[in-house]
Amino acid sequence: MRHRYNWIGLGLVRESFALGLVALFAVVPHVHGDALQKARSEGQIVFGADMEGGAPYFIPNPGDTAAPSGFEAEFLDALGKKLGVKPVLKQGQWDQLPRLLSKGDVDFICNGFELKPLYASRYRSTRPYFRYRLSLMLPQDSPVNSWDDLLKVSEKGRVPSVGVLVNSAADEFVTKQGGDKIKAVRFDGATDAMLATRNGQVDATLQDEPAATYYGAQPEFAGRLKVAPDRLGAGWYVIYVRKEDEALAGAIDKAIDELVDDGTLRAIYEKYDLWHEEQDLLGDEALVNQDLATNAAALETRSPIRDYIPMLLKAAAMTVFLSVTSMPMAMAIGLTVALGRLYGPKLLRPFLVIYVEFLRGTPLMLQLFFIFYIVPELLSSIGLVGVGLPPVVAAILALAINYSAYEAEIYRAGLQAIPDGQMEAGMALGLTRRQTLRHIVIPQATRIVIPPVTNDFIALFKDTSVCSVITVVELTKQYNILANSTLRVLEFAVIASVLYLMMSWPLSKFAALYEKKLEAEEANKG
Amino acid sequence: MIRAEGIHKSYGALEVLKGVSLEVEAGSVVAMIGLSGSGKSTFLRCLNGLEPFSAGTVQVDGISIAAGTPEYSEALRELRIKLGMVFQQFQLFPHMSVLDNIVLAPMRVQGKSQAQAAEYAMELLRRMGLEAKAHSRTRELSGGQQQRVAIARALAMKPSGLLFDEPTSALDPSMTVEVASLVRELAESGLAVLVVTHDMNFARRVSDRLVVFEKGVIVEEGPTADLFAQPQSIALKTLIDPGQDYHADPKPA
Repeated sequence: MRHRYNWIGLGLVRESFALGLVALFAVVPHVHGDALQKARSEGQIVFGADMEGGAPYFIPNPGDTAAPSGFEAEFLDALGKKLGVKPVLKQGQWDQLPRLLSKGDVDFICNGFELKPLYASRYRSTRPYFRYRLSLMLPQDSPVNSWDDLLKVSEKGRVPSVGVLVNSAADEFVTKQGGDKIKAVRFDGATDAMLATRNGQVDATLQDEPAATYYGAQPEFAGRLKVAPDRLGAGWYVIYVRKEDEALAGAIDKAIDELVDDGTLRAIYEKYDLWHEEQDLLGDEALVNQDLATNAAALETRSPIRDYIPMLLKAAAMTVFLSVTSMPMAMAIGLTVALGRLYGPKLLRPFLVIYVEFLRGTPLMLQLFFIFYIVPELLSSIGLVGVGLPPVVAAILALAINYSAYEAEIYRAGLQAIPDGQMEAGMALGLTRRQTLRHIVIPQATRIVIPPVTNDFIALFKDTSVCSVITVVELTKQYNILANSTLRVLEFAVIASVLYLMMSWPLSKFAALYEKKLEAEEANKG
Repeated sequence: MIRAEGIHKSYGALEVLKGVSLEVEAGSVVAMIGLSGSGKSTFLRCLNGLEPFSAGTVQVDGISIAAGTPEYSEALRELRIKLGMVFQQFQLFPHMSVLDNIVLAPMRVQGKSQAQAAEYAMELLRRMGLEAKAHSRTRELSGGQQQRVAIARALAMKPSGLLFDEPTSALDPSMTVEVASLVRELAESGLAVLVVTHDMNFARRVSDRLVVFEKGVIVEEGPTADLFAQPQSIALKTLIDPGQDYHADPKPA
C-alpha cells in the first residue's frame, strides 16, 4: 500500500495561535459620542478591571459574579451613585486594560492604575482616589528583611530576583532602583509572584500594599510569607478616561472630591484596613494638582525603535533556545512512547494511551502552571521545601512533555506504515526484535515522519510564547512588555511578527522540500 | 538437512496444520505445492519460527526448536542463521544500499567486521552477476535483480537450508526458467532447498521431490517425475489439469 502523508495536518491545527496574537492589536480608531451623556441615558457605564488575583481591589462574589466586593468595587459603587449611573465591570488582563480604553471597549479604567507620565500624557487622569505604597514580601524563613538587605545580598555576588506585576509601579521601582543589582521577574498576576516567592523561585516580591496586606493574611501565604516592615515608593491611584471624554472626567473629579470630603472613602478604606496616615494627602489640593500637572505635562521621552531591537533579538534567542532544547526531548520521549505502545509489554500499553490522551487533551498553559507552581507545592507538602524549578527549565520540560504526546502519535503512524514484512525479514536473518527495530524499522519510519515532525517543530516554536505565563521572557512576552510600557503597539507587533517569520519560514521551506523529495522517491518505486 | 515433525497449528478453532512432517535432504530441492489457502505458506513460516506452532519440532543441522520456543531464545536465533528465507516480495531494506542489505546480519548477528562481511558479500554479488549494483539503492533494481539480492542476503549467513516463498509470483513469467536454474545451482552447492509454489511449471523444473499439500495435511509426495506421470490425489490432479472435475468419480455406492 502506498503511504499518504495526510496526518501532516496534525501539527498545522495549532499554528496560527502565536502569530495571530501578535498581529491582532492594530489600533482601531474609535468614534465616541459624549461618554457621560451616553452613560446617563443608558443608566450604566462600562469600566475595565482585572479580577484575576484582584483582591482586595475586586473580590469575586460567588453568589453574584456581576457584583464583586473589594475596596475599589465599593469606591466605584459610591462614585456611581454620585454620577447617577451604575458601573459595570468588563474583565481584561491588567496590563492590557489601557488598550481596551483606547479601543473604546470601556469608558474608563480603574484598577490600581498609578498616576504616571506615560498614561497621564496619553489619557485624561482624574483626581487620585488612593495613596499607594509598596510592600516587600519575603519567604517566612528568609534572612532578608528589607530592600537594603536585598542590595546587600547583591553585594555578596548573587543577583537576587524580585517578582513584580508586569508594568506596575513595583515593576518600575525594581527596574529603576534595582538596576543591575536586583533583577525584576515579571508576572502577569500579583498572586503568581507571591506563589513563586513562597516556592523559592524568586527571592521576594514587591507588591502594592493592599495586595500584600490582603493575600499575606490568606491561608496559602499566612506563616509562609512575611511582609517587610518598611514601605517603598508612594504615589496615587487614579482613574483614566479618554481625553475626548472631558465631561465624564470632570464629573468623576467632582465626585471623587466629594467622596474624599464627606469621609466615604475613608470609611471604605478603614473597612479593608487600608487607611494609613498618608491617605490624608488625598485632601491636599495643592499637592494633588501639582502632581497631576507634572505628570500630564511630562514630555514623553521616546527612544527610537532601533534602541529596543537588541532586547527583541535577545528574546528571539530565548524563543529559539526553548524550541531547540525541548523538541529533541519531545521526539525522544515520543518515539519511546510510540515503541512502547506498539511493541512494549501489554500491561504498559494502557498507561501510554492515557499519557498521550491526557497530554493532548489538556492545554499547554495548564501544564506549564502545573509544573511551575503546583509541583513545588506538592513537593513542599512532602517536606521538600523550596525546590521549585527555574522558569526556563520548567518551560522546556512542559514543552517537551506536551509535544511528546503529539510526536508519539506521529511516530506511531510512521512505524505502522512500515510493512510487517520488514520486521519479519530482519527476524528471519537472526536479528532480535530490538535490532530489527533499531536498524530497519525506525530508520525508515524516521524518514516518513520528518515532514510532520518539522511541522510540529514550527508549531512548538510558536507555542513557546505561552511560556510567558511562567515569567519566561521570550519574543511575545518581550513584545507585550515593550508595547504596553511604551504604548507603541503597532511598531513592535510588526517587528515581532517579522522576527517570528524569519525564524519559522526556513523551517517550513525545509519541510516542503523534504516532502517533495519523498514523493519523488515514492513515484520512482512504482 | 531440514526436518519437520508433526507440526500442528490452529487459529482459534480452525486447525490449519494438522501434524505435518517433512524432510529436505542437503543438495536437493523439495517443492511444496497446493491451492492457495492449503496452509503451505504458513507451514514454511513455522519452519523458521515466524509463526508460532502448537505442537511438533523443527530441526536444521542439529539445531532444533519445539512448539512454544520463545521468540528471543538462542536456539531460534541459531536456527534462523542456519535456515535462510527468501520472501515473496523480497523485503529488501529500502533505506540501505544493496551491499548494506547483505552485510547487516553478518555484522549484527555474527559479529563480523565490516571488511569481512563486505568481502563475502561482494563474492556473493559476483555469483549473482550483480557486482556493479553493490552501491545502488534497492529500488533502482529490477524484480529479478531484487530477488537475487534477497538470495545473496540469505546466503551471507552461510546457511545450510533455504526457504523460498512463491519465488516466481512477483516476477515476469519469462523469468521462471532462469529462477529455476538458479535455485538448482544453489542445491547443487549443497543446500537443502524448500520451495513453496503454486506454479506447476516451475515446480516440475526446479524440484527433485514434490509434496502436495491440502487442507493442512500432506496428501501425496514422491519424486517429481513420478508424481507428474502418475498423479494419485485429486489435489494433484486438479493442480496439473484444473479443467477436469475429478470429484465426479463414478464410483458405485
